[in-house]
Amino acid sequence: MILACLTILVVAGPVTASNLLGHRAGWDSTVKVNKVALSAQFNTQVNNVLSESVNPTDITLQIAIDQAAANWEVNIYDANYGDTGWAGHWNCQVWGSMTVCTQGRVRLNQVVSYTNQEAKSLACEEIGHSLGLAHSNEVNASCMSQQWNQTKLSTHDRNHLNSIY
Amino acid sequence: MKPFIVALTAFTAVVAVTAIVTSLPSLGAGHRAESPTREFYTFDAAAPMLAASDAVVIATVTGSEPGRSVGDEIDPADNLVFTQVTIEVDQVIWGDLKQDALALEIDESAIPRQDRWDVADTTVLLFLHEKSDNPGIYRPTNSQGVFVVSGDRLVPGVSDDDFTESFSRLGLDKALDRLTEASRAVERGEVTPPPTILEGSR
Repeated sequence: MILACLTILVVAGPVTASNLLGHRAGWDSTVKVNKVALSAQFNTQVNNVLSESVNPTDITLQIAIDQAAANWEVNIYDANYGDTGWAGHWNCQVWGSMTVCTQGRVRLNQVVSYTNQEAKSLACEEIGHSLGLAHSNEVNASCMSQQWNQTKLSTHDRNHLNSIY
Repeated sequence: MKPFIVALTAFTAVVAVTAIVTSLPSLGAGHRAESPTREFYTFDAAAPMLAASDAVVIATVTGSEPGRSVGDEIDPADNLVFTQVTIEVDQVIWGDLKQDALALEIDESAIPRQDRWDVADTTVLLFLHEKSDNPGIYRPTNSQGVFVVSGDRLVPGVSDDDFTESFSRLGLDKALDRLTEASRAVERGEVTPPPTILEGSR
């Protein structure tokens, strides 16, 4: 029995990989996304990211518009947050036990003007964070590399997401 | 036979616990996940970070409280809430500061998940930027620009990337030497503020 448990643990191996942050959005493979008062530009680019990069994964999206944040696992906002030093940011209210984030917030800072490609790249990275991805070094393949000309999650990223959803 | 079984059970338990801990997402005690933020600046050396900063100081935190909120969310509670931090400057390393007491406005991107640096009586080494939309108020230049000082020890306050880790390993005295060299290089025009990552991509 003990050896069997040990064998399972060893075979299972580490769950983390190079660009997983260590959490997931919600408890199951259905992720509830709430787009809150988004500008036309970010609304379009968020939709593009969800359809092109998240739909091809094992995640099932449930999308709402302008709902209160409490019941939604990924809440996406844009505003001119001013001179904060960042273009986009994700955080989760459940800092203490972060393996499941039940109310995360993506903020897209309109302190500067973005081209559509830049807006899509930014939305892609922050949505990636909200789902559980960290930055990556795939500079020619993934928006998680923070390159403004990268607008999609890579195959590597999507495989990571499939491993946790 | 019995002692053997007890020893085997104990050994197995230790191995199993170790396997579980190492297989968990990297959120163990004392570990900070990387800052999940796309910042306008990312640095790999101290000199360009100093060049991009309005001031570099060693200071003591004197207070921290919720500040203004920004956003037009459905529920105002969902707006971005800043934290107002006050510091007393102990030493100016770079910049032309007129006053000893400074007010900082930081947001959630500058606050780590644990071991908060904005706690009264904490000594910090800060790379500061004067906010263009709030003159006279400062923020860390980016998430790499916060270090907690403990004796000669430096600990990254927010971001624990390769640069901040290696800079911290210098210790305070050598870090100050490095910053003095950097400030001279900036004054000589040998180091200039780098473009932000957005400017650099256009």
